[in-house]
Amino acid sequence: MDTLDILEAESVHVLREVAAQFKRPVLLFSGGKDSLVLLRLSEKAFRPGKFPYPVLHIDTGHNFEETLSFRDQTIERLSEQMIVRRVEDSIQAGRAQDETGPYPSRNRQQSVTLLDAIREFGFDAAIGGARRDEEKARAKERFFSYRNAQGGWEPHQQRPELWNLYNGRIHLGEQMRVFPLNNWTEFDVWSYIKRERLEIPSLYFSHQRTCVRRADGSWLPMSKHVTPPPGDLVETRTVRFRTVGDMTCTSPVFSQASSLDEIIEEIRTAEFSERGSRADDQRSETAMEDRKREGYF
Amino acid sequence: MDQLRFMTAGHVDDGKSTLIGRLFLDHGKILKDQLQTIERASRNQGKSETNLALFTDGLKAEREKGITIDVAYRYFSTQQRKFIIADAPGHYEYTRNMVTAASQVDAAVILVDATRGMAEQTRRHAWLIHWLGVRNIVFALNKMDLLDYSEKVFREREKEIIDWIKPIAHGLDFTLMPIAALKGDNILRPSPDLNWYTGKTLDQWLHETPARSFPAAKYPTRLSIQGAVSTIGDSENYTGTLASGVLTIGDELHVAQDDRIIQVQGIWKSGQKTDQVQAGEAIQISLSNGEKLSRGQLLEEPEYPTKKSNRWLVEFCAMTDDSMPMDTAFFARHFTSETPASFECIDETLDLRTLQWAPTEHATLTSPQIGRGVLSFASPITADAFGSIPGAGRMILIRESDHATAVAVLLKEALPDTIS
Repeated sequence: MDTLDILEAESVHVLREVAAQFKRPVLLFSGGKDSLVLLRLSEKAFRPGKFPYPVLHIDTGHNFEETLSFRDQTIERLSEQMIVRRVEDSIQAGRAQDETGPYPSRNRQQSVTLLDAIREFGFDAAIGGARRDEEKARAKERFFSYRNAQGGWEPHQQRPELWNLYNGRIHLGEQMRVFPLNNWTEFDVWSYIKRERLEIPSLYFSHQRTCVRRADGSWLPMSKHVTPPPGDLVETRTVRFRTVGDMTCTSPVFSQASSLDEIIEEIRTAEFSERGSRADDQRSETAMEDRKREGYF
Repeated sequence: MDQLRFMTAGHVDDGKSTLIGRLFLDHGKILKDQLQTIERASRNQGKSETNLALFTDGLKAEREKGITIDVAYRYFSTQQRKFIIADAPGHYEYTRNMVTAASQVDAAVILVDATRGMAEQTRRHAWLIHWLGVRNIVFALNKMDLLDYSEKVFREREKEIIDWIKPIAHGLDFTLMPIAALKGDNILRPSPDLNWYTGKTLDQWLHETPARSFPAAKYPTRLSIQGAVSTIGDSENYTGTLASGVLTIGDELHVAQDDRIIQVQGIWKSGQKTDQVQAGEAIQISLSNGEKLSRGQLLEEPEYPTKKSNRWLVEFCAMTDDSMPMDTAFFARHFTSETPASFECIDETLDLRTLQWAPTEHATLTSPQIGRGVLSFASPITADAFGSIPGAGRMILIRESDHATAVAVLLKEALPDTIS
């Protein structure tokens, strides 16, 4: 077994434990590369049967148009069940509030919609594509990560997790977040996408795009959600996206990489980390931990 | 390229997190934005030098207190090898998180503060790592810079460790080396200040120590069923991860729990039909003659059966902060099966100074107590003793009341059944 085989076997084992230990699991799907890998691993784990869980997409309203159409095609090709819940509806219902200013983000608001959806359907486990190598708070995650009845993470008192014996026992109202890709690196994900010939949104490949440079020097794609103040530079550049989140928090990277091999080479020699391009992580030093405590995945 | 999963362990403040920061920095694997973040945080702490420990201490509480609370996992690769690193906490009260890390690795770097020698917590870590079956261990005597790189002190510490470890040294591949993690001495490069030392650098050791190799064909086949996947009509495939041995189409296997012999008709791995699979692979199988299986059933090679009993002699490490009475009700998880269980007796605890088991009168369990006793199960457990087959004899006890993962257990010996 090579390293990808070992990672695949570990993840498939985890997915099958979810299927066996929970009554109503769900798979969180963003349309990004990591959740696409999760779908392929679900096929490996459960075909020729159906997935033992539906796929849930939290539509922030700030998604790239392309991610949404890609999402719909992918789920249709797999003939699996998809649930979509919208941050817009949470805002209309007064459950969440939009940010104001020139660059509003809905990153934080999506935790409200996610927790509401979990309650609405009674999900007891939510599978996510987060990886330990992405971010310092995620580096602390278990495979089965316990969440209290409010959906919050208590990082200072996590359950021990030994070998591959996963403890999925929870009380009514509590939930588990499950991270089958914990041990995958960004490099592993791209190597697997190549090996499995996975289709991915073209946002990941080099293209021309109108972008805006903000006063702090960071870049965002231009979109209808932002209103750059005078002084912020709007320019067309050759870019790609290294992670795909919302248009309002995902910075493009300047890149000529237009094939999987070029992307893999670019990552191998990268001087900056993957989530260095995520504005949602840069808001404070503990931005990810804070959001995870609130129920973000 | 192969992959080594290793951990750092040792007493609090002996330099575990600093060592990992140093290893990444010297390999050029701390990326620009990560380094900026660490430098900014170091300044916020009022430090003039970059605090490398901040590279792995990712939680707010960890940065505030300057300690590691839970395991941080870090990933990097060189031309020769991929590494998964578990940076474990040193504090006594977080021993359970160290145990979590130790259960996942092939090798361990145990840091010892050379200015002080082995602390009790260092002994606890070293013993638990060995107990969990990690065979490749290096004792890195750190902070040699504070001792003017003295060979004399190093030799004293070396003797102290070798004398202490003797009772458990059989089968261990352990070595000792001097380092100074803060300065980078003997991490990637040999240090001119340690010219009396002619052994490996830590980086060399990490590259040369044997990586995970899944148990080969010589071990008996064990497959614990995870679940079923429906196929065409009303037939089913069964899923599981092959724990040991090999499995070939046509093999006859014994169902340990109900004494049936079943025959494997088809095997799939990674979505592909295949003729043979080996330990470590996550597979599906179909059975001849419409035989059925359910979750938790253990398939075994008929010539090499498991032991079966509702009473097992066990060794354990308790992992809850509160103290549990001996009659605490647990769910015992062994492979994919779960069985109600409780302790019949707790006979002995480990003396970390002498590494001898001593009789105990304690009838309670509390973290991080290490003991020996008898576990009694509601229905018989079919298992192999820990150490007899790679991966065998591992168990966790989940407390029934609050579902805490409460005790780490190694099954040592099947005892005669009680008369029911």
